[in-house]
Amino acid sequence: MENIITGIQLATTPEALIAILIGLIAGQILGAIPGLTASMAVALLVPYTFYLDPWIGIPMLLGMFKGSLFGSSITAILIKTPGTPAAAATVLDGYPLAQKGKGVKAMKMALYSSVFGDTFSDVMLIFAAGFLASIALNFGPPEYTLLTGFSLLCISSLTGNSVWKGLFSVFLGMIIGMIGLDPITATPRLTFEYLELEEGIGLIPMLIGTLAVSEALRQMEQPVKKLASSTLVFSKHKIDNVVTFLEFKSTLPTIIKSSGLGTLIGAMPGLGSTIAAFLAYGEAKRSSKKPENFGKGSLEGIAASESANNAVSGSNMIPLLAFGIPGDIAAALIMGAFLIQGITLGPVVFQDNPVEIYAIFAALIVANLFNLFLGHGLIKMCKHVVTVPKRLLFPAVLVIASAGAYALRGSLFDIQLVFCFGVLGYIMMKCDIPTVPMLIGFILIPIFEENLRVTLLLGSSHDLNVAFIFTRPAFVILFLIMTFTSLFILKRRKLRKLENINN
Amino acid sequence: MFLKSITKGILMFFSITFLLISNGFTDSYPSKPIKLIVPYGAGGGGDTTSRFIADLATDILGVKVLVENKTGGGGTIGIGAVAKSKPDGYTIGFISTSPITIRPHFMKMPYKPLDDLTYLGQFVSSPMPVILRSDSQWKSFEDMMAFAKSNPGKLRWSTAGQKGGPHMAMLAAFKQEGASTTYVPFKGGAKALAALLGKTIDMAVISDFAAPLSAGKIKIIAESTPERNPSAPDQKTLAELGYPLSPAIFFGIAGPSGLSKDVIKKWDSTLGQIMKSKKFIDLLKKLKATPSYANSADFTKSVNADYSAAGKVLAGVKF
Amino acid sequence: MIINKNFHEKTLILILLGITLSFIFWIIPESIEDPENFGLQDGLNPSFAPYLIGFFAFFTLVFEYVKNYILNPKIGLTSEKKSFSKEVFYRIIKIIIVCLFYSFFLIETIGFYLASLIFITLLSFFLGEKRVLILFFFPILLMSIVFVSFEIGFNIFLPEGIILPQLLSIF
Repeated sequence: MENIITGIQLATTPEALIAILIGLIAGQILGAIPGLTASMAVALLVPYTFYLDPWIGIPMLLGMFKGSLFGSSITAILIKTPGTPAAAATVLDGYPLAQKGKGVKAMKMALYSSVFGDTFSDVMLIFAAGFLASIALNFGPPEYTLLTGFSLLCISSLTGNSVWKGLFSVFLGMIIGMIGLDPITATPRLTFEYLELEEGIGLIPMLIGTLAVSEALRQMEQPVKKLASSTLVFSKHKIDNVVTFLEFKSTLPTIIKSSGLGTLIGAMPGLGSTIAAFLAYGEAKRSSKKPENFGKGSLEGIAASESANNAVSGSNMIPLLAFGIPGDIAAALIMGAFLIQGITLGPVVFQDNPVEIYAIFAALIVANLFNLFLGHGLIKMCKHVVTVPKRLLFPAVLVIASAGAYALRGSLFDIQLVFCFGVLGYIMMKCDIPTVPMLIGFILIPIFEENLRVTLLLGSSHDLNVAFIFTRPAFVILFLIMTFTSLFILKRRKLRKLENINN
Repeated sequence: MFLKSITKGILMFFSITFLLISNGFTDSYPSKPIKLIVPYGAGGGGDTTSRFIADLATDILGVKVLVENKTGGGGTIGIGAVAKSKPDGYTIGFISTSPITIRPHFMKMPYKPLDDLTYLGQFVSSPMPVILRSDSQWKSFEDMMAFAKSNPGKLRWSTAGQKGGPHMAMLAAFKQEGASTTYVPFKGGAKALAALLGKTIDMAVISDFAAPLSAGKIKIIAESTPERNPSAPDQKTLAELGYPLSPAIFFGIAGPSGLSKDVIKKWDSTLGQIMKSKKFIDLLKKLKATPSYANSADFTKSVNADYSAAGKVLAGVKF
Repeated sequence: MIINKNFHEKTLILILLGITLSFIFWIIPESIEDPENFGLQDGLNPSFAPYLIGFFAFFTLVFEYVKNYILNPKIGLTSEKKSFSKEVFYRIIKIIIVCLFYSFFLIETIGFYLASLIFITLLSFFLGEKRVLILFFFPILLMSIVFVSFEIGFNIFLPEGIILPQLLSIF
């Protein structure tokens, strides 16, 4: 108890508070720059924390991570450019809302659900880390296969009007996702002996290209007169610029469910915030009372993806605290920062460095509060930036996107990819082929294929062969949950249809 | 306020270009910022160590040493960029074992490790223990090997990187014993560790073992590098157990071939100074790595020796 | 120009079908080598998944074609029209060429900053910005912000190009 109080005192010293503020501001700005991801933002800041006390340096890093996840949704909503891949799902509903003049409403919804997701997962981290981590550890290749396979099936329902075009788009994304080294044999596939391709196509150039650049191209084809105006008009009505209590209340179930989903996914090594956001979005649409609104500016859609991707920021520390396993690159960086501070993460941390760890917990909560206030400031600022006329805004977006795409791997090839995918996305748009299914196929197929093949490989070393998956309790439970929720939703849909007919 | 910072930025831009140009006239090395290419992504594979080295070298050399991440091809793209750069000492790279002494024997490389690089110095060797869950049925390496021999294909194991040093070392050991096993590829040590603790696999050879070891979740049964593991000094190395390959896992710095003697000398003394700094030693201790300094000449020799030793063994391993 | 949407869809399916077939029969065998003696017990061949996806795509397309144009040809004929403007087409081709020139050639040769200055100026001009002052100062302002934040703030170095260092080394 004494440790907890000392920890809270440490976290609320002026130095610590200022550090959190700096981290958040830097994170929000970095996040808003397309291409610079949350983990990149953390990597850039890590060297500065070498010389700081742990309860100052670490919260700064975590603040940066949280800030960048929110910052990225702002550009996703306003100019269809997700600052980090995690905000790609936010584009789906945020951008249409902004086009209707309700950009501020969309951004505020994103802010509230981000902060909620953050807080939810932080609370989970503080009180249930051990429990969640032991669940997550039971998730091996068979469970990952089931999870990603199921999501691929569900998310194909995100497709547009024409079924075959959506399917073709998913397949195209899958093929692009297979470029690079084979996950099992490590032999090159579809690379044509081109070394740059061996690492695979980067998610960031692909996302920026197909979402932002193709949209820029589509807007730039307009007659010159139209390009003198700005892209967005913000509605003057008060109702379009706030999230009312009723609206928040109606999205609350979605937010809670998505935060839970995001927390679970964050606890599993190797999935990450982008997948969490898409999964939560798919799930929200699947179980929504108004699935037809999704993709046209549904607040529920923004709430789902934003709360889920932010929930990852707290829960990716769960396997770190429980076992010393970093769940993703950002967590690995944070672990490195801890090590440099002389703290070895893992269950022993509560005995060895209790004060520091409680100080960091307290700082996490403080960071969420600050994020809420700073977010409002950022929203006001960004409102002014997008008033630049289109003919200047789009060239600027293209250049900044190129710089961001280059930054991650230091490769010119990535800049070229951005524009190639921009042209591809533009052509697809003109043929009415939706691009989002392509992105989902691209993101999920590597995990799905790798785990499926590892599962088969593991099967060959078991007596039961592939049937060994049914001896894994996690697999069986996951399988049952998925079957029952699907049946339940199907039944509810049928009932509602019947009701509609009767009325 | 905003305008002010922009004018500041423009002024800075001009002053820096001016500095760059004017510095071109002075001859002593180093006179302008040095680029340290790290062939791995930010945060993984020695990135932290190299950022720390860059920071310390900046203090010693008096010019900025800047880290640039250039990832791809398991480290080969970044090292290829170093090999192709101008040999003026202003582009150097961070290197580690697998893309230098192991992979070139069976993969296409954009560089020849012995001809295209100047080895400037080694600063870390990292232990790479063979680990089991602490509740594992096997007590020792021999136990495990006996199981592998009597149950073909039943031993499931993994390493931090497919076709890297530890993977090859274990393959060579299993081959010598005539055991057939199931290698389960995972991307990165963290995932392999998660799979080990989650009972998906039963043995792993990874370097990030510090946290689970101190928590008592795993035990070390052997060491795959030539030196015994300081965390478990009782456990023998693969070489001591009589197996042919136990590659050293080193971190070092290299430049393109044809670096001048001045540059080599400067880095020898810089690395020597860094190795003595308490900050660096502390960092390595926390990372559970062993400080192991070799100057340019010694490092070149050991790389050559490792390369040909690995070549001999790997010629016989089918995978 | 007005084109029939139905005709447009039909051609699209045929073109995609051609691409899919060439992917299955030419690109996959050309670029994926399956290791020898590699079978199901090793967790499927590397080329298995690409073939599977390729065939899925093929069947989707064939199914759609057969359903709409062979079994039920009348449904298609009544569909709506789609407009196609030559003007827009030429404009977008021009913009795309500028973009590709920038990303494939300009950055590599003259470096990121100079290339971007030229790119922004050129593109804004194409898009109808005629005020010389803005054409001159906006790119410089933007690139200074990028320079300060990337190179000084985050220590990220954008490509410096081939020509500039050579020029510097002459002096």
